[in-house]
Formats: sequence, structure tokens, C-alpha cells
Amino acid sequence: MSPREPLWRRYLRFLGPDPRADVDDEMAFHLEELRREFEARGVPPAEAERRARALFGDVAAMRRTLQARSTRRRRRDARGEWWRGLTGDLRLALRKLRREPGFSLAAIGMLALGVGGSTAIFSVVDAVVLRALPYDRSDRLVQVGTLDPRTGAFDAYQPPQNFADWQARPDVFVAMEATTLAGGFRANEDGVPRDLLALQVTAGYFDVYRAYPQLGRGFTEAHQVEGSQRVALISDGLWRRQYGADPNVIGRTLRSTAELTYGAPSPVPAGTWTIIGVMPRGFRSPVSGGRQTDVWVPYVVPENQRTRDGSRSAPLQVTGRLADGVTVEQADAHIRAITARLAEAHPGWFGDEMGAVRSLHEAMVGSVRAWMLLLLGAVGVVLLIACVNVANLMLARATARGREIQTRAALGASRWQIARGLLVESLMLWAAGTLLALLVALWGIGVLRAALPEALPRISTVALDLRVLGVTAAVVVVTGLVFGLAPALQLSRPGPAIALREGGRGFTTGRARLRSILVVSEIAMAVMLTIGAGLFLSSFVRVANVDIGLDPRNVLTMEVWPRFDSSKPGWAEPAMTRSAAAIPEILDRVSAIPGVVSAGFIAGDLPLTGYSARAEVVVPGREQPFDGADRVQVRHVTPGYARAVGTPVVRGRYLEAGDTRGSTPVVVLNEEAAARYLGDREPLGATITIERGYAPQATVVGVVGNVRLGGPESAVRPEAYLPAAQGRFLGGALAVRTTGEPLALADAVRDAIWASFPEISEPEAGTLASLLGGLLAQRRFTMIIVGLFGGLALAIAGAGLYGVMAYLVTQRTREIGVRLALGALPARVMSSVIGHALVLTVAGVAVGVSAAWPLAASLERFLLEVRPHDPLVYATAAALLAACGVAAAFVPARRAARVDPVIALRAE
Amino acid sequence: MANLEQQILRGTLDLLILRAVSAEPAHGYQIARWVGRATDELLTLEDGSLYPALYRLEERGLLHAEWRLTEDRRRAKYYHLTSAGRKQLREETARWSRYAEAIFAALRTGATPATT
Repeated sequence: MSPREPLWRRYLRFLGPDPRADVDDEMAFHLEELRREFEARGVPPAEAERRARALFGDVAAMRRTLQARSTRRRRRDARGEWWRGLTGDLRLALRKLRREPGFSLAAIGMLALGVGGSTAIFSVVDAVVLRALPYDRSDRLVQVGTLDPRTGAFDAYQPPQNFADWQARPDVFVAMEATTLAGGFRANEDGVPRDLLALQVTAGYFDVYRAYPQLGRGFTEAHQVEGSQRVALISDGLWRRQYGADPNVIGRTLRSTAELTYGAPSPVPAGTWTIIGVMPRGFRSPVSGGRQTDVWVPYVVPENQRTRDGSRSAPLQVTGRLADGVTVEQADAHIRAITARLAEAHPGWFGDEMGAVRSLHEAMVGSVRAWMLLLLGAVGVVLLIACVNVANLMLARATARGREIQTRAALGASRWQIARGLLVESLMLWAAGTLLALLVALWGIGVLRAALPEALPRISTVALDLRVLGVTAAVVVVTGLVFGLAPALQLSRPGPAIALREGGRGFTTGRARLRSILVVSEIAMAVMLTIGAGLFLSSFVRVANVDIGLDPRNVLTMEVWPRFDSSKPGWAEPAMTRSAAAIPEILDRVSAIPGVVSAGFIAGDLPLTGYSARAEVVVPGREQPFDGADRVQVRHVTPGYARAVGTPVVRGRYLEAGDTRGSTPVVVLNEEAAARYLGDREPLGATITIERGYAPQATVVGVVGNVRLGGPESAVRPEAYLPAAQGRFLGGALAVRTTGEPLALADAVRDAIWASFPEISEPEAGTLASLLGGLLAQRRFTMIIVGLFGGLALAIAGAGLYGVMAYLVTQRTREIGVRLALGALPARVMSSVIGHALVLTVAGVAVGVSAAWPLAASLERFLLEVRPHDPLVYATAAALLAACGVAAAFVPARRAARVDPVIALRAE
Repeated sequence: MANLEQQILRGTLDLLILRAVSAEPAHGYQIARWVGRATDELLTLEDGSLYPALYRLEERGLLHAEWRLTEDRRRAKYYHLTSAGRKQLREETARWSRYAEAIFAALRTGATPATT
């Protein structure tokens, strides 16, 4: 150890104290002193050294102990210091954020809305569209049906004859089974009778899904025989609720009644069914809406549907599991080939339709996938805008605090300490924002589940997806950090203290330009969203206004379905006779109610509920009957019906009271039917035959306007109206046009029905308007959501613009003060600020419109009745954004005009 | 006897160190010499074993250590009392006095166990 320290060691100490070296030095010093003392007494150096060491003790051991101790202590101190630094930063951050409530609330709010909103939407889209079906290897599951080549529509409902033929030649299918609705099973839960959801299934149904009973056994083909089919499988839920999870539930029974609660006959006979098994918990048949199936019973092909000579009824949905390695396209080709051969063997049965296969996932979510993904896109844009805004905010803040940061750096804070301080601030904001986002997301999911159409597949399984929350929050946080931390750190680099002088504008112009670019991009995105919302709105308005051929205002509807006991043979005839006699009585009574303009009856289902019987048409002079897609939709109606629903009579007359069973068979066609079947010929007086026993040789007495029976978005189909008196039916619905609020007369109409059919349980009343509304529900929902997003985007972009303007005004306070002092008018100052804002807004609008133009074309598939380049929508969006920009700039502009030149020039 | 004395003195090493630096800061060697002189060479510890005590006292916050330059410009670690250390010194000294007095009183008393 030399008496003087070598230079290099001195410099090493700049890096920080080294505890081990310190211990060495201290001990070396002590030994040195001891040596000197001995040498001063005349002891020779070597001896002095030895004595010194002896007096000191075991140098090496001491050194080890002390160094260990020292190192431990230093670590403890460092940890304590780090911790103190952190809590100090936290407290400082809290104080700062509280002092800037505007900024804090803006940042937290944006985070909450952006992250929470997108999480909610994404969770819904994931559950409904993206998630795979919950079955073993669900990508192998497909649905088999027919395809109408003209419209491309897939018909999932098939007659048992088709199913039998397809199942006979499986080839590429490992399993193919069919299912249809059953009914009549009721349970008493807490005293309220509830219809159980029941399905009829073929024997191998559960093989398709690879789900097997947890108790008991499944169906076999022996069960699909008349007489042996009274067995049932129940769901785990039903087992627990109704049977208390009784392990001996096998052998217990279930009862079914002959009709369903709304009066229609049940598809399965009434009686007692024996439970032979319980399905595992969590198994759901893929039924629309994800409602839980409670009961499965075997499907028995009705006697008259075994061959193609019998009647044709298409209740079955056919699902299958593909063999490994087989693609959906291959299966589709296979089915198409089989079906083509069948069509040749049975001409007329298939019409123009081809056999087809589509994946089960597609079947369940296909119709909604497109618009769900659109929602996702919209929400993504909003998130992007939120990110940009956050970036802007952080950038502004970093610049505004430039002086503070430089001062801290000059006073000795290390870059790490400054960075840590900023980091803690940011993270506090993001923690608060994310927490709020969680609440927003939960609330949003609740709202969406309530507001979305119930028929949406798997809507009941929607739940908050925390991963999405994490990802979106991380995205925004990283953006904020990048834009907040980077410029701040740049400022803390030791260098010329520019910011400590006034203004410090030199190196901030680059940043100001960046902020301007960010704002312009925000506005552009907001414009795009607003345009999208506008297009949806105008599309919706037009669709809602499409002439569906009815006048749905003030029309009361009520179903009339008397009860029958379908267990006795030959029950149908007397029931139909009774209905035929009762309906005119009911109509007379209803017409007598004050407030009723006209009343009519339609057999079967109401219009706008989608279902209609179809039949072939034979026209004299044409060999080929009109069949397949040219079939006519047949409805039996009473004379008052057209007036009740508001369908105009275009030619001739409507059905009259005189058209009874004994008189000439008559028919009224709609315009489409007249055109299609009779062409240019005069329709009145022509004779046509509607097959399947509906109307042999009926005379056309009138033509009515087209009705879109499927709603505004459905195609126009040929329709024929036959007199109810000349037809046979079991029940149907009343349509009553009223002068005032239709539901107000519901009770009176019900009484009229009960007078003839006292045994009917409470018939449900509705209005045509609400039926129409139901059809539009999905569209309306999309429109509302996109509108919401547009509004949100506007708000956020406006806030961003406001921030930029406010910042600019603050930065230029001095310059403004000078101008005012030199005599500039406050109004000029104000208008110059607003002018600047307008420049940014116009730039944003221009970019947004030019981006939206090509993209709008891709929305064509969602937009009915509107052009994607509707100039009105674009102009409105631009004007809206411009107004928004002016409004955002208004407050800062006013503040600029109010600047007191004296104060501005003095302080800085 | 010398052993017992040494043991007692060793237990009070902390106190002695505090006293050593109470007047002015000192480095380890100076403290070692002071303790030796003050206890009349009764305490013959190895010099080195002073240092664990010094480090311990510093960790407890009773001493504060600082590197300084000596008169001939060498680096040495000086220890001085903190206010907490000063307080500790005062209290410990008082305690020792009371203790010593009590022992003395007991040794000088005329009373015997039989007469109490």
C-alpha cells in the first residue's frame, strides 16, 4: 500500500464507493500507523511489520468478516433508498396529478372508455363469432342441407327422405344424424309451468358430438321404431333441478302433453316417457341462442314420410362429423353428387336445389360474422384514436414540463431518477384508468347482452375476457410511455440549459409539428367513423322505409290456436271444422268493437314471421308446373284481411263473403305471381291450379300489391290468397286495424276469441309494428353502435384538438401579449387561433374523406338501399368535424384574446 | 482476575468507543490507542477486533464514518458521534455510575446478612 493513492483509483471512486476496497484501505491504514510507531521506536522495518500484524490480529479473517458485513449493509441501504425514492415519487406524482385535474381526468377517461369499450365489444365478438364450438374437434362438424342456386340461400331444414338417402351413403362422414324440435314437456319450477326445450334426435346423434351419458345409456336404432320410442335422455341441469341429482333417476318417468303452451299441436305424442340416461354437465346441443336443451327423445320417421310419394315436410336439421383429412368442400361435392342422382330419380322433389354442406360453425355464426367483425373494426378505430390522443397528451405534458425536468437534472437528479418519477406518474394514471376500464367493460358487457338480439348464437356465454383488457391496456400504456418518456428523457440530458431561459422554443418546434400531425390523424379517423355511422344511419332509414306492402301502423295481432287432443286418431277433421265455423263468429264480434276499422284472419303464421307454405302452380297452356323456386306462397285469409294489414288491391276485387265453400273456387294473386305465372296475359278471369290440394282450377278475381313476407330485406315472392272459407286450417292469427293505440283493444279482442274458444290460454297480443321492429333489430343495433362509436370518436378527437390549441396558446402567451400590447384587436387574435384550428381540422377531414372513400365500397354488403359514396353523408360528416374543431378551439381562443399583455410580458 | 476484568471491559467496549470519539472525530488507530491508555492497558484486545464494534455502532446509527485526508494527505476513515450516539453515551455513563455506586455502597455497608 503506497502512502499516496494512485490516480486511477481516485477516478474509480467516481463510479461509487466500493465497500470491499474501503475495508482494505482502512485496515491498511491502521497497520501502517502501527508500523510507523514501531519504526519510530527504532524497530527495524521487517520486525516492525511483524509486530504490527501481531498487535492487529488475524488480518485475513478480520478482512473477510468486515467485508461481508459491509457489503450486506450497503445492499440494505440501497434497497431502503430505492424504496424511499419510490414512495417519494408516488407522493409527488399524486400531488402533481391532483393539481392538474384536467389532464388527469382526460387521460383516465380516455383509457377507461377506449380500453373498457373495446374489451366489452371484443368479449362479445369472441363468444359469438370467434370462439370454436365446445365440442371435441369441432372443426370436423358440418351441417348438411340444400342450396338454392339462384339466391345462394342454404336451407338447413330437410325432409326425412333426404336424410335417409344421405345417411345411407356416408362415405366421407364418420357420423350423420338429424334432429328436430320436440315439445309438450313441461316442468314446474317454483310453481311456474315452463316449457322444456326438447329435441327429437336420431340414434347416433351423440356420436356426432362425441358426448355420452354420464348415467345410463344412449339411444339405439331400436328406439326409433314406433312403439319403442318412449324413452328420454335428460340434461344434467334438469336432473339436478327436477330430480335432485337422484342417482337412481334411471327408470323414473317424464310426462308430455299433447300441445304446447301457445296452442299448437306437439310434434311428439303425449304420454309417459322413461328416462334412460343423463347427459353430462355442460353439454349443449347447438340450438340457436345457446339455450340449454333439457330433454332428448328418439326421432321416429312418420309413416307417411318414409317414401317420396307421401307428404313432404322438412323439419330435420342434419349434422355430421367429417372423417379426418376430409375438407368441407369434398363433403359438399359428395353430397351434391348424391343429391343430383336422387333428383334424377325423383323429378320435382328437389326443384332447382342442390345438395350442400357447410361447417357447423359457419351455420351458427355465419350470418352474424360479418357485422360482428365490423363492430370490432369500429372499436379498433376508437382505440386507435384514444391512443393517439394519449400520445398527444403525454407529448404536450413532457414539453410543458421541460423546464422542470431540466432544473431537476441540473440539481443533480440522475436520468434514472427523473425517468422513474415520470414512470410512476404515468403508471398511476394507467392503474386508475385500467381499473375504471374494468368497470366500464363489465357494465358494457351487461348492456350488450341485454341489448343484443336473443337469437344471436351463444350470446348467453359472453363473459369478460381479461386477456383482452390486459392487451388493450398494455397497448395504450406503451403508447403513453413512448410519447411521454422519450421526450422527457431527451430533455434531461446534460447540455446547454436552453429551457431555463425564456420560451425555449428552439427544440420544441419539431415536437409541435409531431403533435399537429397526431391531431390531424385523430381527426381523420374520427371523420372516417362519422362517415361510417352516417352511412349506416341513412341505410337504416331507407330500409325501414322500404315499402313492404303492408301498412304496419295501428295493427293489432293476436294468435288464435285452439287446443286439440292429437292423441286420438282422426282428431284433425272435427277440429278444423270447428275452427272454420268459429272464425267468422269471432270476426263479427271483433268488428263490433268500437275503435276497430277492420279485422281479418290469416291461417297459419303472421306475415313477417317468415314461414309460409309453398305449392306448385299449374297454368293452362304450360306443360311444366311452376315448382322449385317458382312455387307460390299460399295463405288462407278472410275478406277483411287485406284492409286490416293495409295491402292495396291493384286489380279486380279482393275475397268476399260470397266466396264460400260451395261457390266457385277463387284466388287472389299478388303482382309478382300474376307476372310470373300469367306473363302478359290478362290476370282477371284466368284459371290456375295450385297443387297439393289447395286450389284446383281456381279463378283469379283480383291482384294485390306485393308483400315482403320476410321483411324489408327479403325478396318479393309470388303469393296467392285463398278464401279461408274454402280452405282447411286449425288456427292462425287475427289482424285488427284500429283507429288508436292497437294494444288498448287487446282485452276486448281476447274476449271475442274466448267467447268461441273458452279453453285457449291467454293468447298473446302484438302489433305488426313491433314485428317489423324485431326484424330490423339487428340493423338498428349495428346502427346504434356505430353511431355511438362515431360520437365517441368525435368527442375524443375534439378533446385532442382542444388540448393542442390550449397548449399552443399557453406557449405563445408572450407573443400574444406583445401583439396585443402593440395594438392588435382581441378579435383578430381569437380568429387567428380559431383559424389555426380550422387548418388542422380541414387537413384531418381531407385525409379522412380520402381514406373513407375506397373503404366505403367494402361496406356494400351491409348497406341496403344506399350508395357508399352518398355525398350528403360525407358533407355532413365534414361539416360536423369542422364545427367540432371550431368549438374545441373556442375556449383557448377566448383565453388568448383575454391575455393581459402586462402580465404576459412580465412573467415567464 | 485479569480474565474477569478483561471480560467486563470487553463488554463495555462500545461505551469506550463512544467516549473515545466524543471529543473529536478519530480513526480506528487513534481509537485503539485511546482505549488502551484510558483503561491503563488493562484492556489488551487485538487492535483488529475493534473494527466489528465500530461497524456495528455505525449500523446502529450511533457513529458516523467519513473518509478524510490526514495531515500528511493519506486517506483514513474517521468516526464521530451522531446525536443519537451522544445521547447513548450520556445514558450509558449515568447507568454505569449508578451501578458502580450501588456496588460501592454494598461493599461499604456495615450490615451483614445476619442482621438484615
